[in-house]
Amino acid sequence: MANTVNQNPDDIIVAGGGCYDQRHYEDHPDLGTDLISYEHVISPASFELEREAIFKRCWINVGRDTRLPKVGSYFTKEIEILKTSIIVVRGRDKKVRAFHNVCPHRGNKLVWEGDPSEEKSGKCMAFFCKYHGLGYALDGKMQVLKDPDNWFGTQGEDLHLVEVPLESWNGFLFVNFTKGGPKETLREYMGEHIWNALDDLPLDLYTEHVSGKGEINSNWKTLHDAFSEAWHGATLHSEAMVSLRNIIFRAPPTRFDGPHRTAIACGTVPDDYYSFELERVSRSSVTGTRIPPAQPIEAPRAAFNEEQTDWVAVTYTVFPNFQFQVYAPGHIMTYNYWPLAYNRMRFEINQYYQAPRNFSELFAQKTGTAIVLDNIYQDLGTLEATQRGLESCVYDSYPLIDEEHNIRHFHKMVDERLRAYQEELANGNA
Amino acid sequence: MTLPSMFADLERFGDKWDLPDYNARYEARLTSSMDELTDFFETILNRIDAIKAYLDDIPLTEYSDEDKCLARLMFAFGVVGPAVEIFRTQRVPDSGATSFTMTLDTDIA
Repeated sequence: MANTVNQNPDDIIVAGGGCYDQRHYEDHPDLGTDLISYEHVISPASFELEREAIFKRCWINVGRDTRLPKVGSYFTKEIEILKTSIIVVRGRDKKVRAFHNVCPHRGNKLVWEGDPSEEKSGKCMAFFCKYHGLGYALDGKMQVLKDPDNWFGTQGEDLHLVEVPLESWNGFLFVNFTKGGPKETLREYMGEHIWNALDDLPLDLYTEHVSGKGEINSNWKTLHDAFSEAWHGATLHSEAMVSLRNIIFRAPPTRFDGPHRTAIACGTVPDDYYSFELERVSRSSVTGTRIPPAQPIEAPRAAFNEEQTDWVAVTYTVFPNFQFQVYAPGHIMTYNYWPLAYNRMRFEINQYYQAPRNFSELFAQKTGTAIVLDNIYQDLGTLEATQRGLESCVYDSYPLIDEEHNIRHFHKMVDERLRAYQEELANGNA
Repeated sequence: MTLPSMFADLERFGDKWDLPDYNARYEARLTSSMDELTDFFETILNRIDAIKAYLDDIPLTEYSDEDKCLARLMFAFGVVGPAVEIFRTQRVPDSGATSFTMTLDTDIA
């Protein structure tokens, strides 16, 4: 049995489509090659600026509409950096809406259970405040006014929940907290490339959903950075990802669309190659199941600038804190990076699979998830060490290698937005 | 715990490994000795072809309680594997400060 496990990573020869010798800085000369500062990773003041300059201006993903299968299905979402919570709910007209999760009577958080900082989901036909029993319909309108004769004028009947603009990208829900309303639609914000990128994906078949979250003592951007380059895999995950060492640790060129980006990991994993027994018997690995699902995913066409048939994963990063990943031969992962403080964050992962047709497929999916989570423990474990190192301020700037150009781009996008907001403040326009 | 009769010899793992979800499985991995993990992993590994062949023959929606127990042992095997084969210790190295919980984990009904 053991002799089928390939322990020597050098045995793999991988076709890379000629992309591995690419020098990213030549493709994106505007990004430069200078050392960069992580001031906005270690500064409480930057955290305050990010609230206004980024999270109150960008479209923010809060989940997928499959969590809302029926009229009245809802979930709440805590968005700590905005000091708010929202309710996302499917109305009687089937439309999904978002509302600030606050009762307009006395300001009590409306939907929660047990601990007001925890998220809640369920199904109901109206939201009742725990404090005085006022009830709000699924469209946010006042529905049940307690003691109607005791209110002044129309102050009671005028109480309605405050709606938050919400739009859907292939079922993935985004909200926008821009003062006065969004300056652009979600489609305009994403750009045509990413907006259309999932058109060929059979998303309706992705009915199997697992989700997890964790809190880490690091800035939210530090995890974004970790998941924006594959170079660390060869060291941090060298034991757990040995079968992939020669495949994904040199990235083909990234496509940038404004602050967003599309990145491809290419290569092929030979069908008979496994780096340990569990991978072999489960037919899964850190890239998830290796059994093609009922409808295998074709390489998302929009991801490729040129012909590229061998691919492992495509990652769409929607600024500021959402990543959508498609893995060959067929599962989907999303990451959300939620700032809690300048040095604390919550990480959320969602995995979607097509319905398994037999036990072997289910076993590959579940074991793939377990292997992914072991790798994620390694990633998360490193973050606090990075935060501690950066906060010691031993260095004021740091180099990035060519392979880390996505990080260079991301931090440039953050810096630009913080600077623009500061200029607005200085000019009295914010 | 009762397993399909041809796998009755694996019932000795039931008390520890017939668990409902990933969180419980990872917790059991952390609180087991490496000897326990290795015994469980290697024993299942030796029977895995027969287990998969047996469970693959039954539509997922028609599992008996015994079949579901067997499936849950296999899912635990998948969580235990990296500890035995890769890390040779229960906890993922250097993950001491990390808290992570699965909040939605579809399992065999």
